[in-house]
Amino acid sequence: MTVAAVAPAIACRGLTKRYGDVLALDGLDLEVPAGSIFGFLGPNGAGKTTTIRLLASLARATSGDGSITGVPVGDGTPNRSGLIGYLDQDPRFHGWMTARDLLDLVGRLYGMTDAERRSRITEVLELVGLSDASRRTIGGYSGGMRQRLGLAQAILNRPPVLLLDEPVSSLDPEGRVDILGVIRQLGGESTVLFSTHILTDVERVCDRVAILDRGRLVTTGPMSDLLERYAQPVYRLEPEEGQQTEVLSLVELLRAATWVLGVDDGHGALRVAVTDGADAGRQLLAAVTAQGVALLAFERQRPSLEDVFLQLVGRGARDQEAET
Amino acid sequence: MTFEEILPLLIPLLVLQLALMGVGLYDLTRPDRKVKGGNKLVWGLVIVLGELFGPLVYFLFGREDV
Amino acid sequence: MIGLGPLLRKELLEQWRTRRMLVVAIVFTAFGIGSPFLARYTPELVKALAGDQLEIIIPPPTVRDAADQFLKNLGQAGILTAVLLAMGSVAVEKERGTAALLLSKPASRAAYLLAKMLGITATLGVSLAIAAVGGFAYTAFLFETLSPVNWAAMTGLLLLMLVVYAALTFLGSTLTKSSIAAAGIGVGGMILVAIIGVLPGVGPYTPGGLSSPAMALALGTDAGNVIGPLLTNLGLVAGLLAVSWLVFRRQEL
Repeated sequence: MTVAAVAPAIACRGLTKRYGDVLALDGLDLEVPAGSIFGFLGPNGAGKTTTIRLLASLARATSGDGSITGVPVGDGTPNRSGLIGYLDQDPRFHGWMTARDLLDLVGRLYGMTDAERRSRITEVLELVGLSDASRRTIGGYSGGMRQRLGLAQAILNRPPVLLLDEPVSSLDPEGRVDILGVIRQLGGESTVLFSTHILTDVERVCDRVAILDRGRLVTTGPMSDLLERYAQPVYRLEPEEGQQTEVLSLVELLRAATWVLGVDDGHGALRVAVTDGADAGRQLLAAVTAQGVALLAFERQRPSLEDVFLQLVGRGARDQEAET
Repeated sequence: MTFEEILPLLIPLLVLQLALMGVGLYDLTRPDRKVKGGNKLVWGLVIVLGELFGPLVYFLFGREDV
Repeated sequence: MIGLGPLLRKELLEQWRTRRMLVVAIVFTAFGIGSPFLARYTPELVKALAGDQLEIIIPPPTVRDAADQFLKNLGQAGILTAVLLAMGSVAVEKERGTAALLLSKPASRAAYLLAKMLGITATLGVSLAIAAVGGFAYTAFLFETLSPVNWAAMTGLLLLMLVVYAALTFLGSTLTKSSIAAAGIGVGGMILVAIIGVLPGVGPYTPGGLSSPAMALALGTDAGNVIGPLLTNLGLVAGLLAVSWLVFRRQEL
């Protein structure tokens, strides 16, 4: 039995990074279990990039430590052992190389044989959608193409751990869906840590998340737990047109009810936040019927990560505004 | 010393100088080429008027993102 | 030295594909064949221009003048080239993030630096070799045929001098993220070495001091102590690389 078999794919203990007076990362404790697709969330400047750079041994921790499959990151051993694939948030390459040249170099660094490189390079180029541009020099690539190439070079040797910093930030909506699909597939063979500030990206692919704010861990856990714990159930009601009076009295009634947390009235629909999803649904319908409001639509909205995020970080952001 | 006498020795020098200038201008006029300072005209003059050192400085310092 | 092979391959490919090696080879070759040419015809040209008004006594040019011009011209063009090649070598890759890309792979920082310095040395060496062949042929045609072995030895010492200057600038390139600052450090280092060379007995051991044994070697005269300066300058290159590594291995990318 090896250490790697029992150690978490990524572990941070008290990981701290200070740049002069700025505390970029403040005692981060984090464990990413093997095989997960881990969404790393937080507003700009929360410490996501700092964490990833520390784990990729490109920066040095002020204190604390991190490890990749049990191997400490301090001296760059995980890099040299080919344990990580790293994608920078704005990947830059040598302008004179073609995509194939770059992947060939990376494959050689990983010690892949000529035959392995030939087949694997074609495979990853196909996967990230760069086959047609693979013989053009990278100097003429767009930001989105560079990001695709960045992912290709990160996954070339099928590393056990992938550290992806904002891997879809430069892509158009279609490209986003493509590449997020690729990342989801990777979940089968690698552990993926993937930072972003776009919540829907995370909802699409991640099974676990951590939320960072101002260098500190706000919360972490399986996505479903977080949604259950922090997202309030919300119902959306769309009344038929021309019932202003009925709707108005319905809103008044709902606002007075103890099981209603808030009602948002606008854009021809009502958004009703309630304390308890299942029970409130019945009471809500009863109230609608009692007021004689005819409905076009009635649905319980799926709790979204956005709700969780706003509740945890949004509050923090408001505190910050109040302080200044 | 006559001109005819030194001409065969001079030709290789001229060829090298012109080749350098040609390679320099060819590289400079590539549409995706970006140069330090952003002004290709200035670098064009450096390549043409800078004798041997002009193209040298252009190739080793003047280009961005190579 | 993890990753040295692939990284060296990349550096050599880069020197070729970015046309650096080609351009340096053309420039060096032009100086290589131009030097004996100028040594041979400049006196006649001056005489022709001065006409009969001035009675200038110019000694007829010798093979010594050809070798002298070769060393002087390629020394000057070479120093400029060495600085230009080394100044951006590490600095630009740090600034653009390509160093981070490569070093997140199985590649040690020592291998990364060594590959870069070997790439620069290759461009200087190949170009100087072609220039030396051209210069040798012109010298043979215009003056006399020297020993090719001696001529090669002279070229070798000239290369060593240029590599020392490149290593000084290379250290600058690892210290900063700006190639201009790196060039400044390199030139500053050269001036410092030149000043130290003024001290009694030190001069022959500086890179600039290599030119007089190089000259003697080319002409087949007594070069004096060559081994001492040779080893000193090789040691200087190794030392500068070691310092570069000590600086670079602590740097964040």
